[in-house]
Amino acid sequence: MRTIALLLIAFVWPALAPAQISLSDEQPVQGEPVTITLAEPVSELIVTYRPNSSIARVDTLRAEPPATAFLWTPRQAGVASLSTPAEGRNVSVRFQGLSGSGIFVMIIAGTLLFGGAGFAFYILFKDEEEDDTLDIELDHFPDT
Amino acid sequence: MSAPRQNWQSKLGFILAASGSAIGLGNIVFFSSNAYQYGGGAFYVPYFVALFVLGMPIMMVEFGIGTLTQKSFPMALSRLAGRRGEFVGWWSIGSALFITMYYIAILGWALGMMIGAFGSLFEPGVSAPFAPFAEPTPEPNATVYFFNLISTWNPLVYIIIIWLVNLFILRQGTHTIEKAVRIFVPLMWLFMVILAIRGLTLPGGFDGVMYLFTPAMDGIKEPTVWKGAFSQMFFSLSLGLGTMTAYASYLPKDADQVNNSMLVSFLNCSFEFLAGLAIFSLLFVFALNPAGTTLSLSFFVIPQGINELSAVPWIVRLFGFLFYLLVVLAGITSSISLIEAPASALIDKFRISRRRALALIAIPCVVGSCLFALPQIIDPGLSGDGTLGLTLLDITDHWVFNYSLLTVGFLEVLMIGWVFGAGKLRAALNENAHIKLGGWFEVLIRYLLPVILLVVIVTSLMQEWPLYGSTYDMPGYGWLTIFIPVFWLAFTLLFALYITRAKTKEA
Repeated sequence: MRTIALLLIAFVWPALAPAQISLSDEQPVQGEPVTITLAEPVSELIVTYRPNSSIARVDTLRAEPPATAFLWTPRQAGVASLSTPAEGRNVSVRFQGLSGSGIFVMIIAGTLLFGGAGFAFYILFKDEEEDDTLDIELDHFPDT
Repeated sequence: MSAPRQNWQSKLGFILAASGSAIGLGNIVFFSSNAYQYGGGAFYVPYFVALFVLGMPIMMVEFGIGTLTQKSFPMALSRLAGRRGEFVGWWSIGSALFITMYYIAILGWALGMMIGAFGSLFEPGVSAPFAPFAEPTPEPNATVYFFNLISTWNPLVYIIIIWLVNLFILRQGTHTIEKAVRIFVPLMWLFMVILAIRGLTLPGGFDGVMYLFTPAMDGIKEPTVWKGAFSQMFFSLSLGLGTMTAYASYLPKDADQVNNSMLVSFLNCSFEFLAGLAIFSLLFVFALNPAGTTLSLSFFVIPQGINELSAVPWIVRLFGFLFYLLVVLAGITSSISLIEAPASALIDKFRISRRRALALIAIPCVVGSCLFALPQIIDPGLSGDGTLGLTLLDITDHWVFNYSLLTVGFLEVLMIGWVFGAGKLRAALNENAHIKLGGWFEVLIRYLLPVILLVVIVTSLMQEWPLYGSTYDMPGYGWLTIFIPVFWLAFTLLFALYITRAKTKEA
């Protein structure tokens, strides 16, 4: 459970507010440029990859003079936040094609976990007779 | 008058109960929250390593000492490591009581949200008596709904209901626990499978799953990610609370605890695997960003995603209801074990009846749970937690959950490794095991695990300044940030000292 600190309102609340930042592709793809359009001209647009994670990474897109459109090529797949001093929103950056290592880890993990559970179930019931009731007399196990 | 010691009616009943104990709120939302916080794929590989290096071995210790002694956690440690062991056991039970109190308060809120799914949770026009949420919202908003819920007295009723359900299930010990978990645990799995399928079939849902599993090498190199993964594994498996030892003590001495530990650990992590599929797909599809951890994800972020699952209102309500029903069921299968651990310990120590033991636990803990739901607003600007109840819960949770479990785990492996002897435990476990433990088990228990746990505890302590909660703007209540950790520590240590010194009533 751990930390609940609701300072997070500061992060969650903008995401719930109506979006003033729009993208030419609402689900951009890693490595493929998209245009970000803003309601008001700004000189800086901050892109945070994996916001609020311990490995968050920040890029700054700059425009001189201030502009309402920025060209952005997402460097990482995953949730990213786009923010200006006045507004902000989150966007999901899709993977470019299938992630081979991701599928590999998923298959290995799934096989080990579900396979391991299945194997352990097999062992559990291997020696069991038809009835799985242990029917233990407590007297057989005196206090140690 | 004490009844004879109970036993499980079947192996399956024990496995369902123990896995139900391990699978709780933490698996559904805390895992995903932690996985997100530590970088998705960067987290999963260390988490997997932690399962084999830390989770399973400590589970084997806790199950092993339960069956070996046929005693609850404090009395088992007393038998194996003397008075010092019993003291650690009671300290763990004291901390578990704090956790039980607020855990049930959270379940009360979840019950409130579950009821709200067919009320105004997914409707516009909600408001709450806090500065940012005072105006009715144009869209459905779970965050505002939650803050409105906790600023009323209604959750106290929900908390009483959850307590009554727990006590009803525990009234005849293993007999009634087994009956309940045979219904609750399969239902939990069914609902989680439904949520995972729904998440995966959303457009872009699979990208969210890839985000969870694709290893991010820059993150894997970070020590904090490894620390997070090892902590998560400890919390996820409900280690250091005495629950697993209490449940294992109701098994016969010839139980294969190596296999049981593997099975419960695999089931727990398989459930988390499914939870990861369900929640990461939702987070990704709706670009949700969990800024906090469990409570924010379960009460703010996930319902926000559920709200966008469909344009058909009854489908949204149904999924919202199912999600919170899942949280409540998973929570209850864990909370019964949290109550059973002290109950069995009191019965073992003082030979009192189950009814009396449950009453001794329930009376103060119901009051405690209600304190954690006090709706008095002390932080209207929401720089912290808003209400008095949530503030108490937040700060208590930070100290008790972060430190007591890990500290108990650390002391437990030291005592088993160096006082009782890891070799003796290994021999006892191997006696009935299909898969024999090698010498590596002793190395883990004696050397590696104490070092890992000590590093996690010390590095966490080093990051404790400024004191947790001291940045919240709570006029007149700032003293809580110091009072809560001091009270918890003083109370649990005195409680452990008092009960350890009390005379153990022999059978």
